[in-house]
Amino acid sequence: MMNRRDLMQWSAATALGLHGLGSAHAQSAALRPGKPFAGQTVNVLSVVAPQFSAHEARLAEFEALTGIVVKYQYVPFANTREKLTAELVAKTDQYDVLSAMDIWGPSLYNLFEPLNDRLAEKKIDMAARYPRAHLRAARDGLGNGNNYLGFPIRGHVQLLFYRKDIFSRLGLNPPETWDQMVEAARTVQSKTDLAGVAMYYGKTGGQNLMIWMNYLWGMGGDLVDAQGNPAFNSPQGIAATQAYLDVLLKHKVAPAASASFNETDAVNSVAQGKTAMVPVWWWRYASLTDAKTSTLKPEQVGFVPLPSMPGKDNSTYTNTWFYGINRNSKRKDAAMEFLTWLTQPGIERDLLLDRSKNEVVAVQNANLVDAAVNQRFDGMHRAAAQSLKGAHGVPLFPQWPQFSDLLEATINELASGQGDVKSALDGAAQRARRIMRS
Amino acid sequence: MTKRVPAWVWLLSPALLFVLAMAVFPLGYSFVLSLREWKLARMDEPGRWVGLENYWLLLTDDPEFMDSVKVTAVFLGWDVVLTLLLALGAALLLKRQGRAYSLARVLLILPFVMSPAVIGISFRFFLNAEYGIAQHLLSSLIPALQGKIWLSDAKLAMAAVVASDIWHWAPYMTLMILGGLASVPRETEEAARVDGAGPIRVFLDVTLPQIWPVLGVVAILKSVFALKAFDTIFTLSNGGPGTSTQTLAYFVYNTAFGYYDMGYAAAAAYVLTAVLLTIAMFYLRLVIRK
Amino acid sequence: MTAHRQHLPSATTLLAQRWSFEFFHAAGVLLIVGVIVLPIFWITLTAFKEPRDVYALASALHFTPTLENFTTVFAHPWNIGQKIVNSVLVATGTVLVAIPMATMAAYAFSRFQFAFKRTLFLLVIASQFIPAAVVVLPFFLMFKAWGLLDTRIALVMVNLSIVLPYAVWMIKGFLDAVPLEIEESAMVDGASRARVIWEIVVPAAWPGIITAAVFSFTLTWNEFLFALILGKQHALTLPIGLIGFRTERGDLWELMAAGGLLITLPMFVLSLMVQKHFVGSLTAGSVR
Repeated sequence: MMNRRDLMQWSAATALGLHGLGSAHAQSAALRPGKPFAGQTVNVLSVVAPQFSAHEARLAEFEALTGIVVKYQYVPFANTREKLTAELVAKTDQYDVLSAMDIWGPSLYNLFEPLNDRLAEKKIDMAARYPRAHLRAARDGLGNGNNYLGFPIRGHVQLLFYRKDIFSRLGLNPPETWDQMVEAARTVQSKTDLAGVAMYYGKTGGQNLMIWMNYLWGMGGDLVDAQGNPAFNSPQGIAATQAYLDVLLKHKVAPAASASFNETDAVNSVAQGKTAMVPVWWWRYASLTDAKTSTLKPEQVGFVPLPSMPGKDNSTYTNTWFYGINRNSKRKDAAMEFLTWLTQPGIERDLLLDRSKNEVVAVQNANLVDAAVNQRFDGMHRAAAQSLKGAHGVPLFPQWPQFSDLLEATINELASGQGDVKSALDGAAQRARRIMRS
Repeated sequence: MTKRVPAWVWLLSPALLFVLAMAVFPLGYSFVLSLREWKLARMDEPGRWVGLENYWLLLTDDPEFMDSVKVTAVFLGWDVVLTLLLALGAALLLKRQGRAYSLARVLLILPFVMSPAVIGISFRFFLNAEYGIAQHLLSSLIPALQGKIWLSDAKLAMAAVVASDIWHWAPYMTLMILGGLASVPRETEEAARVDGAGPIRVFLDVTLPQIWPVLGVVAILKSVFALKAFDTIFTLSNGGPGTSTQTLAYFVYNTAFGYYDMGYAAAAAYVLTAVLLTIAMFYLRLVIRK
Repeated sequence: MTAHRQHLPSATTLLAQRWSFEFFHAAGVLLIVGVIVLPIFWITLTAFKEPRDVYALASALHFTPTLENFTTVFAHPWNIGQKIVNSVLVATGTVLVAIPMATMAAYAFSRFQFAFKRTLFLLVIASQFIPAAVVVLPFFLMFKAWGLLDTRIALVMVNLSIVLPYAVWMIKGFLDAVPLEIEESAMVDGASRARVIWEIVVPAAWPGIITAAVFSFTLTWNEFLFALILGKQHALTLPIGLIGFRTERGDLWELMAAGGLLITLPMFVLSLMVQKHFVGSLTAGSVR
């Protein structure tokens, strides 16, 4: 049913070619009329992900609107950083739009064009559009600076996925705290032949730190203190690490192979019906419910926000990718047109409501609270918005890659049963002090 | 012989000039870079000159570097020795005539042309604790391996990494040794056999001395590539568990593109180069006599 | 040995010894073939599986095969077809330029005496001791200055610099084994050095040249880092395609297996063709 206000917005949207792009509440910024950049080509450095492939499928719309040809140049996900490094060092403009992960941000500030003026021109209110936790990835100054360097495009929260059918059969409630998770896992292991919860302590790109950090922050510990000294070997840090590892080592409610699992192995363990729970990024929902990659049906897969420490709010660690404009690009205006169009809330919303896919990724506030989206995904997004409020983002100091490597190796070694937590963390803290000094 | 402009000048020029240009450039550039500080996170271009400070820090203040040197030594030792023995054994077994043996020799090239990254990833899946076929078969055949998680055990992870590198290279080395074996005149072996020597004696006294140079080439070539091996280790174990399979080549790559410390990485690379140069000089002294 | 009649074992013992030797010999050969073939066989199986079947032991041998992985790797966004073409062009181009160059340089190192010969030879080989990670960025800057980014020419040049040292080294070894007398007598008879090389030396060292060619082709075929940094759209090679299958979702082993298989089959055929020359190498030439 259209009232007059809707009708006016509908016609305005049609005039600007934005018809079909979704809810009127969301901010839709305008493209420059008159196709001033027609004929230009914008090269986008991207990785292969279902979300980006879905974007690519809609590029014809954009070209029809503006005459700008956009080419997605795919690089292997594992080597995106090398490509960005080459652009940075050689100051080339092979790509006009670059995608980067939040943790690389601090080392790549010189690569991205500050967008504040352009954003003002387009009347895009970044703080209103995006949750603070995702937005910090795209700001300079270690996440607190004044310049916006890009648009968050792919952002994640962590959830606990569990076997709804098994839980209801055993009369279990989905856990809300880590201890409840261990209890539920124990029940599952005693009453079925599944393992309890698939943890991942293997060494791959810092993945074994992503749940650990929730334990750490939940118990009041932190990675570094205010002076920048390593603080993860504080008593709270040691307790948190011990609790994290005990899921496997002491309580034995994780499959033995967890010591070498990476994130994908853990998800596969659940998808193959071998384990009952896994705490992981929300986008893994697709892997767990797609018939091609999983033996489970959507009805069997349930999710709750990530467990927390007793009495504490649900929180999550976040991971965010952003699209920015190459400082060396000669087609920055055309690139801005593209990003303006791409980051329309409607595009994200359309993908979320596409029944042929199980994409859950959403970074914009409007979509996180959208009624239709939450109806489709059983309130996942509203819960995500809630978790994001208190979320810790990734640490954004320049030495993070080295720091992360060190911690990841330490946890991996501890998980294989070698050494004790206190001396391992103390040793790591000593090495970390060296790293922070450099 | 005519003594006009030496012919070697014409022969050598295009090749040598190109090679020297393309070779001296990296050797020179990386040495110069190792004398400077260049942390990409903070500066777009190489920064201040620090002289030998990078080397000093590497050798005295970097436990991770020293660990990687130890890991590399272990990896190098096992890799080269096992490859040599297995390739030699395989060559001796496969040097007969006949269609079946011909077919077997054709297969020898296959592991070599497979991408090292694909090999690393495949072996990692073969050894996966839940569904890996190799770990399943091996643990049913060898009881001591039951319940062990390959990539969580420092020794087994090293074994896996060495095995994947051997699988990639040993068949090709077998081909090289087969070439060497073929040039051993059969008469010398026949003569020894007629004199009553058993197969082992024939091999040790007649064949081995004649293929010694081939074995030398195989050993050096394998050493060079073992010290440079990166893709298989990166995809198989990612340097883990902990850092127990993190070799020097891995350390260099990680320092350059992970930690963005280019000057320091160049210094580590030069330490690796120095090791290889020593091995190469030792080898060349034995070979170039003219 | 005179009275060895008394020491000769009986005929049956000899036969038994012969049989057990043959048995272990055959077992050894089977073991070698098995070790080589089994992983390749397993990867082949994986190429025909749905992702769901890849990650389970139960469906290791019992699964519904699918050709979907093959269609996927050729389709967008993977586009492996173009990458295979590029790889073939770059590898062939590199070998065609490298082998003549390397043969000339190897001949010079083998036949002539000149100052600093050992040092120069060492320098040629030592260029390959530097890990690629350290030099890839200066190469990038160099090709950017020449306007050759994202071109196959640039890849051929880079791969030339990689394979030439090994090719020179290998061919020199084979040339060292060709006796000087043949050349010298031919030249005394009035033949020019060029003719001597072309008609006498090269055929004699042919197995070594083929060995070096195969080695150079393979090194170029599998070269990853330079192709990654220097390519963007037009000069992407097969290793980039394969490593592209490592996604956020993890390693897509089924696609990688399909891609890997697409390479192995033609390589197998190529190897069959080259075998004829290898058989030649089994009867002539040696490496020193």
